Amino acid sequence: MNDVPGNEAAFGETPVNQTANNQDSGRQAVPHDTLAEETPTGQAPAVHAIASSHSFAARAGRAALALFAALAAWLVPGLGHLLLGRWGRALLFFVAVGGLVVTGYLLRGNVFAPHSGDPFGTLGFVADAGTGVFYYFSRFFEAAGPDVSRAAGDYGTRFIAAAGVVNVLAVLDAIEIATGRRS
Amino acid sequence: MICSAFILINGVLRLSHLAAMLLFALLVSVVLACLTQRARPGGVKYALWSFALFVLVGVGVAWLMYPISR
Repeated sequence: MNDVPGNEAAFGETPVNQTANNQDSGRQAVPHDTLAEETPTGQAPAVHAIASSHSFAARAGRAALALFAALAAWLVPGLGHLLLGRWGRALLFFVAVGGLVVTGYLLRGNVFAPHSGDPFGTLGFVADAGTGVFYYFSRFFEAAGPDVSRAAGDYGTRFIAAAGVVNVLAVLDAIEIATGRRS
Repeated sequence: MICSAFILINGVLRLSHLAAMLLFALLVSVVLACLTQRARPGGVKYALWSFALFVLVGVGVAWLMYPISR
């Protein structure tokens, strides 16, 4: 079988020259019983249709999972990773984002409202909204309201915005894991 | 000095500038390491390196700005 010099393949592997011969003849290696019904691409129509429907279903499933994980990861930092089975990463994201937000609130940082009428205020709102449910906890932690007249209040504003941006990065990471692009 | 800077009075956190910077650097470094590194030894090394750079750059910028601070 494999008597071509320099073509010794390990068990289960295809010898290099055999693959080359198949490519030379313009045909992929398929079982003989499907050759009679094969398409120009080298696959039987039924097999091709089943494979493409399976791949479409798999892609649709992955897209739905990615959407669900992204929504969960945005709402509660770390929840998207928890749903994907990455509990260690989920815990780290929750502690880090939660720590940044709560510290920002306790420093009396500014929380931007949705309709500030100012481009920087809108950008600030987008960053703050990235923290998900933590955005709505501001009234609980900041009963006295923000105070940016002190440096600490200004630091708090940066802490909250940084938490939102970091959580958006975590959402993107959850999407990549759900779609199979990352482990 | 840093521990005494973490004081909560009437729901308001009193934090020194250095303590705020260290806390920010720590939390962001952990997240960045988690996002960019998949292996645990590499992640810890990345987090430590990132934390050190945050602190060094922060102290360096503060030192450069000191003459114009007052």
